[in-house]
Amino acid sequence: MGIKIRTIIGAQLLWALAVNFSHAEPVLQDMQWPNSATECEACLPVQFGPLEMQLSPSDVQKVLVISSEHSGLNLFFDENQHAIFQTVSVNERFASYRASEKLNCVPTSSPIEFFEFLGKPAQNDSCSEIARAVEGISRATDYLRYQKGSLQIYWIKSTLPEAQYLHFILEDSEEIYQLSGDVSEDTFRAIVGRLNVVEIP
Amino acid sequence: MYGETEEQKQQIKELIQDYFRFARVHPVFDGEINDKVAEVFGIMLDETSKCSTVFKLVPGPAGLKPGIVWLATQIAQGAFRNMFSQISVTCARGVIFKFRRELDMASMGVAFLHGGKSKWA
Repeated sequence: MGIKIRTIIGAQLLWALAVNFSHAEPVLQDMQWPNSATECEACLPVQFGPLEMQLSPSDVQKVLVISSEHSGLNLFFDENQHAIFQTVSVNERFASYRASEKLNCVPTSSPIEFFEFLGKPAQNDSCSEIARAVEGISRATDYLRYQKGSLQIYWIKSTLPEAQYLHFILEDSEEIYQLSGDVSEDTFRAIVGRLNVVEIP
Repeated sequence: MYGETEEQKQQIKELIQDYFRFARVHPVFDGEINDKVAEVFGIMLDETSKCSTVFKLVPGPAGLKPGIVWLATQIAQGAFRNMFSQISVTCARGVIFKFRRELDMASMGVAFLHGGKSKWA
């Protein structure tokens, strides 16, 4: 009977430890810029701001732009998989942070500084905890950074396939480009593997 | 905050959650409902209807303070009864991805849209 009770208590302790440590909040990890897995067959250049992608019919079924302030560039990978590119000015993106006393620990002088801050281990203060919660870091599985030349991409990765958030930051740009929605590893490779920063013609 | 009830807050929360599910955006909003959340969500609905090129879903507050009572009144008057058959999923998704952060911040009581300037003004 004594052994049985100790076994039960031990199992409960292990379970409690597992619950507490089952989800450690991610910190920022550097990743290698992806190479496109496939050759570009019949690719069409699709440009969103200065971001030029080479997309083939096997990558994307449909591209949609709606004439609305918040619609952005919609990419349909199949009838159920959709992601959207949107843009926001740096000032607009950080306005709420700058206006809030509770979020005054968050650096907002540059987007890179901001996204780097989010990637630091959770500090024991409510400000950084709130910022990481609001930006989805606290519930993410990974927080990844890719860099190529003047472009950095910060990927807040979720276990939910439809809940991916990627932020594209160009050095010295006043705009932040966000890709949100269904972004798989293959989709990411297809979009980013053949991505170039170009002038707007 | 005058005259709002827990029932009104629950109705608003359910509407927000239905909207998230309609747009297939997860995780579905599960925060606290307050006047700022109601105001942000009202703006989201307005933006969604503009994008979907349907008639205005949400009349402006027109004398009422934009918040729980205002939005709950719209719900009670059936303003959103047929909403999900009228708006575009793509539009709803775009609006949520754009405003999600502000909705969460409003729910936590830490910040409000664009530093506090009401878009209804």
